[in-house]
Amino acid sequence: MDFLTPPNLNADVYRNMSLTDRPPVSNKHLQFISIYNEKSAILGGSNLTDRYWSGTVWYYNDITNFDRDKTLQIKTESGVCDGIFLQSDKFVIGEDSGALQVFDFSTKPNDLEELQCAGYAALHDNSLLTLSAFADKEHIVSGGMDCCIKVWDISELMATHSFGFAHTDIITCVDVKPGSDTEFVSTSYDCEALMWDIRLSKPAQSILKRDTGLTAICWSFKQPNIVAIGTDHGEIIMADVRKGGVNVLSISSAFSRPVHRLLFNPNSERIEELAACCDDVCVEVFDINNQFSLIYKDDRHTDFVRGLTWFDSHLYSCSWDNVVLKHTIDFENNI
Amino acid sequence: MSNQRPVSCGLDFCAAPDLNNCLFAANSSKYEFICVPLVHPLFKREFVSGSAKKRAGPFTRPDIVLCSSDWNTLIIGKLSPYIKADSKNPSLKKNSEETLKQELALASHLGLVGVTFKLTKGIKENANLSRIICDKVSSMCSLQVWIQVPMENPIKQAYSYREEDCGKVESPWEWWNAFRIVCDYNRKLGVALIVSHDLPDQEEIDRWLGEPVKCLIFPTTLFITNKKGYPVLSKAHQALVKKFAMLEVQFVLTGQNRYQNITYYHNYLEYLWKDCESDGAVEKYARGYEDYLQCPLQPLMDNLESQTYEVFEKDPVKYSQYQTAIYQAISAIKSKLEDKSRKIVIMVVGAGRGPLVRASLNAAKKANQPIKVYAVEKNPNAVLTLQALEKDLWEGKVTVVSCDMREWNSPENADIVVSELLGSFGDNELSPECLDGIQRFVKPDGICIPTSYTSYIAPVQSSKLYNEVRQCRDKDKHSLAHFETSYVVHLQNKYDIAKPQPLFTFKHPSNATITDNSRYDTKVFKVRQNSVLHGFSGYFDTVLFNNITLSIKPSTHSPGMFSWFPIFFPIREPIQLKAGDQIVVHFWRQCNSKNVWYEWCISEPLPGPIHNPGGRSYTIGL
Repeated sequence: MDFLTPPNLNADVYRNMSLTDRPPVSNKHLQFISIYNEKSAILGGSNLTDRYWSGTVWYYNDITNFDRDKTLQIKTESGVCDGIFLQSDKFVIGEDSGALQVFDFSTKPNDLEELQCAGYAALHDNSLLTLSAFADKEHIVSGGMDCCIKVWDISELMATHSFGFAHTDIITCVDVKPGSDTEFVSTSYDCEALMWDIRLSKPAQSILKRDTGLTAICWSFKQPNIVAIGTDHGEIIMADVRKGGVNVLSISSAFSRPVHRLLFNPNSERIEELAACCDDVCVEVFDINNQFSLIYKDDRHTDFVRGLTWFDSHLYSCSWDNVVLKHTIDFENNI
Repeated sequence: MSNQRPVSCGLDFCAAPDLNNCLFAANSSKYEFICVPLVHPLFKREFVSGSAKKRAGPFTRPDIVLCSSDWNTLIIGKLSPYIKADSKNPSLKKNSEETLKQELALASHLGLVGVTFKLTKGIKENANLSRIICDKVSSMCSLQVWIQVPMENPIKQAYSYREEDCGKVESPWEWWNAFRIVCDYNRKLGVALIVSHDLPDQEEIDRWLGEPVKCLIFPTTLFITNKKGYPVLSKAHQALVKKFAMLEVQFVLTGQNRYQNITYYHNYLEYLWKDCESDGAVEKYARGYEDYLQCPLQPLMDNLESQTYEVFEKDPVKYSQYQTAIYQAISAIKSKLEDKSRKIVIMVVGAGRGPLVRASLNAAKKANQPIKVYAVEKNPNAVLTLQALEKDLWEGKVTVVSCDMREWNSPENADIVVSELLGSFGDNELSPECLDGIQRFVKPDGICIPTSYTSYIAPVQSSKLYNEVRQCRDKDKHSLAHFETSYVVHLQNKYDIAKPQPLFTFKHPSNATITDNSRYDTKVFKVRQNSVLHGFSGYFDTVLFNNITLSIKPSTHSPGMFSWFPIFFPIREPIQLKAGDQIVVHFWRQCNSKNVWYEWCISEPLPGPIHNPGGRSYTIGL
């Protein structure tokens, strides 16, 4: 007969339970998704409410099915916040603990590929929230809750630049200018967006200052100097950040909740499509050339949408509801 | 600096994937407590509308992961970093308020000592946040709130990466100052000061010494590596630690471990802390009295107790100074004596248990001069001591007189009158009135020791003392009485807004034809930086004879002397001061036939009411 827990010892039994005694817990709060090609994608999730706030990264070599049970997975000690590809078989993630990890595949003697940690560096003094890769795919930029922006040389796993108090509050997003090895933009709860060029002795320049926290930023892939910036108010601001004269092009009240992520469609025929999610369940796509009209809206998710990625004219989203969705935006039939 | 307790250093975790592991890791590296988020710092909740409002499941881990004694003693809870209770976005504001309430309620449920969050802006963007915090700390709960404030405004560093200049930068002290004013100086609010790489100027650091700083937060990036490869702090940062050590602060280490073992940081901070310990006589005597309000003694009205005499007799400096002064006075009189065989007459008035009688006998012996001593004392119990000493030790050189010096009819006049009737504010134990009573028995060229004394006042910022005074309750007294009373206090948690200035001076023997011991003076102080006036600290110095002095004025304090703590005159309402302001303060010493009392008021930068008019709240009885 099984041992019965005395009724008054619930707390003790729970407290003394080891990790292996527990039923398996899925890290269901999906945080990011990134698709490199049909044969390479990553999905990151954390458990934000369980006894253990750990993370998992799942690697897929087939993007038709994002089933978490049937693929390679890596457990991380703390939760995962963001992840980006450097090559089809090499990617970087940022953790709650401030650690940055590089993963790649090593080929074992028996020709079996194995996903392995190729580098680990804990230099951020608080959670590492956001990552973006330079065009050379050897350098990346990171930002986090420590208000610090770091530029990394991935092969050396070394921070070549560290900008402590780059902003005066949490850094919410960084994004490298498409094609560039030196320029990127950043946003922060400090209400400012900055453009950086690490070649300069004074690398930072303010591109936007609002009366509300700025939460997301992304460059247009094909229109150089155009960025979209999300705010705590749920607005999306389009700006032309040409050096020597920053120009706000439009401000749209897209959401009633803080914007979480913005992403332009990299497809050169559909560069006007801007995907967005906020602290809510919806995924929306706007046409920035057409008075910021809403061309797609989906609210099948049942919890906050955290990750977005475009691939092959489809948009993929992941959410704290533990679901990955594929969105097909029918260009002809605007909603 | 008088810390005796061991160092208390906490470890901050930005992520707490496994709370038990965090505690274990901290504990095995000697850290005494940890700072951890109560709810995952990314886990935003929806309280207003939409599908996410219906989210099922817990919002964080359960209380039973730790036993309650661990929650009660080892955990400081960090509030979620995205809370924006002052957002203009209505749903974000509402969600932030609810999030904050949920986390504060959880902290209360867990029985934490305190919660902490970062202050990043001024009150303009934090009014609603401060209202919610105020509401919480005003309730019955015992939760403390540690408000993290950076020493330096981070905007300075942020602009160092830009072409343009950041212009005039607001000190983060202003953020804190406004925040706690809105919270009405609540005692449960404390400062957790984030130590910056570049330290602000000395004056700005000193201003923090007048605040309830509970904790210094050291980012690991602050440490430099010494020759042996261990983390240490720069000289400037060491000096900072020493300054704050006397406020009994705790430490928190934050950021990534950059050494082999995170305990190295603890070892170093512990070493610094121990180095701050001081075991001098003054420190030993004063320990436990830091910022503790005491009512001044009234030895004229109340007879001192045996224990009180014993404590004061232990002062190693005061009586040796007296002895030197008496010796010099004897020598001065001796040189003018016509009849070389005449005994010099010394009156020790208020002789207590006889230390000044002994000092007089010693001085005479050193000067090789026969003397006759009258030891006058009004306390009949101290007279017992004098009589015993006279009989067994003083060999007929001393006449003990059991009488109030003001009523005594001396059979002869004195060459020297010696007294120790001074209080923390010089004349506040009514030395002038007492010595007036004996003056008629001083020979025309006689000497009084002390010859003169002067009180000093200085404007002071100390929210601790303000709160201590505010805490005083006495239902027999006027509701403002506590703000109209002076206190003797070992001032520690304070910032001196300006240097002390001399106020009232008394000289003995007085050559005035009509004695008038009432005084009135006005003092003007320049304000060097924005600060808050909570009252005035008072000190005194005295010339015993020639150049033999005693002083408790900080700049000239007699080394090793512990007989007097400073005095503190509160004001009813704190006054916000701006750099360049003038403080104009008026002080009166008022007398009638029964009492002496002080009145004070401020006329600039803002006129305020007279404190203690007519001695309604406190007087010193004659």
